[in-house]
Amino acid sequence: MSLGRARAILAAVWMVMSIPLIVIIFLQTLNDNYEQWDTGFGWLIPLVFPVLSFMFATYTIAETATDRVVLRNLHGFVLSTVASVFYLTLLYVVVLSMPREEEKLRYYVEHNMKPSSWYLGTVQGLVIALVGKFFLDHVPSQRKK
Amino acid sequence: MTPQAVVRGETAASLYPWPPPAATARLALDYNALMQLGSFHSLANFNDWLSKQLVTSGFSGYKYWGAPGGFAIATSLETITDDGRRVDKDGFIVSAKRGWSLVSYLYDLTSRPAGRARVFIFTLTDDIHASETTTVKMETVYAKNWLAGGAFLLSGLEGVDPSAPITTKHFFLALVYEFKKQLDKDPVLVKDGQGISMAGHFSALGLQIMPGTR
Repeated sequence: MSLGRARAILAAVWMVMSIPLIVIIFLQTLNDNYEQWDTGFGWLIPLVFPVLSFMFATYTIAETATDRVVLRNLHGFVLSTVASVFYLTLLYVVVLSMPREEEKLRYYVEHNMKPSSWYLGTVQGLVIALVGKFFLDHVPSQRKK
Repeated sequence: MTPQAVVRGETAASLYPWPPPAATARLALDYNALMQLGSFHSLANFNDWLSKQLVTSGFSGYKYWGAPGGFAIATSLETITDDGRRVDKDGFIVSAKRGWSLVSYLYDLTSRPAGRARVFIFTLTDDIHASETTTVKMETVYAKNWLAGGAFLLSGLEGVDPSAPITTKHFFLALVYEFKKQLDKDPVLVKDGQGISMAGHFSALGLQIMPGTR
């Protein structure tokens, strides 16, 4: 597998798994699920967009240079992908566990959703480290060639 | 406390007021319409049919109260969505008889959260005054007390003979009291014509009480 393909797969995983989350939060915001309109995106944006932004910034830069290079660090790719899927699944668990009764939803947002940012933010840090290592590791070695 | 209907005009919140307070939506079936649902010959006979319908639709823990010439069943105050579907105690929507589907789940997840509640009163009576307007204003305290009191079985009602025949004077009255929940305030009763129709409630529950639905 080429490095470009591996990066595309990892980027696709993030895109495919994060877009439905963004749509769900968007529709919930439109339909007054949150007492304050920015609560949903206030939770989601810091947990998804740092990785997405980083990934697409580096993916664009490295695309032409490393596209055809054979992937040497398969473990890094697998680990990054598994960690990403695990992390995004945790985000889904938080969103899909939302009760649909107004009072219980308010309680859930205050006592479960908002505090979850702390734990998820920590996990995101580890995921960024893995994804970042995978995306950036190959760039210097390609320049050496 | 004897689970008997309160006499006309009385407003004790702990008892079942008669005539029942004005409802958000109502359905009245006269004797002929009632007989289209089944050939009921006694109160117990009709109760067997009605309670079976209620259990099938997911009702449990409802209470019996006495009513003139018959009886009344009060269901529990339950949270519902804007289209009358039930929300369970954990705050998740229960779709009766429709099964689970990803589309409906995502619809529920992204639609407005359920902020309504309802309570049903199903009454079989021969009192023509049952449909009259009353000064008693419906409040959630009634719904709570109807469940706290009353009897678990029709046979547990004093002064009501389950084997009493259903006469041509009997009619069936289904009332639904819909409340709109408010944050940090008492729920308010949704006025007649401004809530979900009775057909809408029955459809959401899969309850087949209207003659046309059978």
